[in-house]
Amino acid sequence: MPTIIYVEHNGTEHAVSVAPGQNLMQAAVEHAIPGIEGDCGGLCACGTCHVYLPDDLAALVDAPDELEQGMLEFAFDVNDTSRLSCQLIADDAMDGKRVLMPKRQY
Amino acid sequence: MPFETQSARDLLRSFPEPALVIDHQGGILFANVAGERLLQPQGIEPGTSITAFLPEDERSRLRPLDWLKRWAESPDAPELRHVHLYCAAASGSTIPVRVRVGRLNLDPPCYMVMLQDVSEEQARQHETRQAQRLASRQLAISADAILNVDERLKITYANAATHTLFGYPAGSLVGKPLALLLPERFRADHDKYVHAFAAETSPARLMGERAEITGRHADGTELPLEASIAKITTDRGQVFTAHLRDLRERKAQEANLRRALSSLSTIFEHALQAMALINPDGTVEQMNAAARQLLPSGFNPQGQAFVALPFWSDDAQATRTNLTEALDSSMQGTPVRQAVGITMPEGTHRTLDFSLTPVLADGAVVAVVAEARDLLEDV
Repeated sequence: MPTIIYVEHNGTEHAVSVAPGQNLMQAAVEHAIPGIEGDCGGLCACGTCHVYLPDDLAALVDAPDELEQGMLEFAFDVNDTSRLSCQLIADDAMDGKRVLMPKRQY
Repeated sequence: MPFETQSARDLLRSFPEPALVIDHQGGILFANVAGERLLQPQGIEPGTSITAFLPEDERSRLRPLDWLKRWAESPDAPELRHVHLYCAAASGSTIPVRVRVGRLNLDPPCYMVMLQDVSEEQARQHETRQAQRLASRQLAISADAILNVDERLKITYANAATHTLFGYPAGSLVGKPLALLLPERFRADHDKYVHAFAAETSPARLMGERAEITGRHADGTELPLEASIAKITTDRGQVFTAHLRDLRERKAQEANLRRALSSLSTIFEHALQAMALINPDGTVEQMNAAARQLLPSGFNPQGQAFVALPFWSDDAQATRTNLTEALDSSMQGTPVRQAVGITMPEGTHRTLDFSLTPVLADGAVVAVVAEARDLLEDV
């Protein structure tokens, strides 16, 4: 099982074992990681699981689709590395990678 | 005025929810009473852009007008249930609003926008989320294994400690039968037991009220456990929640303590010197074999007054007075050592080097250790 390191905006790190196939929003919510809300439950319909992907992790996932890009407009402090974590599916190659969280989701 | 002839404008005007009609560029053509009350009670100048009230946020890329138009085309878009826009309200504060948009088929098209203040709903959700976060964090760090099972005895929740205790990978126990965590010989009885508990009126049984139970580790070894269980009635039926505490360490400690005590009592019992432990009330707590030899055979000294034991003879009364004084002073914390003459059960006289040593705990005498050595044996 890959370990994903969620980094809060203040630098606090949370290492979480994520089952392959699980999305990164779900895993964060299950482990009560502060800073990821996931209000819509993973439907890509709320923009409250916004994260920033460092290059090494971005290289492992597909580019965001139109729906995700649209929902990212609702997120705050979006930049080129922004993604919605409900659309990122864990796999073993992600082991040890870091995901950065924004200051706020609302 | 009959209903049929009342104009649409009048109907909308008295509609209780805030509603606006905007043109395709976002200019406000009409605001109903509730809409003006929310946004600008003194009246909204026709043509004012809706973005004055649904401002773009410089920290997000959201363009409210684009989204209003998009939602007019798909009024049941899934995000409408989850996202809201922020509205600059008449009160001067910014409040979250849920919007619904309808397209009016005019040329060019106009849109009807309904606004619903969701700040209370959002605050409630926020509180619920905080509470959930707190609870899930408490469960996550608990050293006790905590798990829930449903009426069919399937595991619906298991915290990290449960997985560690029973030796399963994180997250893998949910959906598995509870029987997996029990040794085979207990499974049938355990099912009966849970069903009996379900039928009882008592809502919970706590650790210490119940006998120890046995769990089964993934590698087949058995785990001694202490358990608290509770039942909770939910909309989806009864849920049983259990807190399990690993007793292995406590049991190991108890065994060590027993071993240590048994070594000490062996040493005490087999010492050549006669020894007795005397309670603060002057009765004998314990006496070793060498001391019991000084008494008639078969005499049980435990609980008897030390000064009245039958080996004090010669001048029984004088010896007794003497010893009572000595014991009193040792009970005050002063050690006593003196020679004592006694008569053995078979009638021989002996002189003993006799001492009383107070045992102190927190400044108080909790016991006195009496020791006697036969002086004649030294000669």
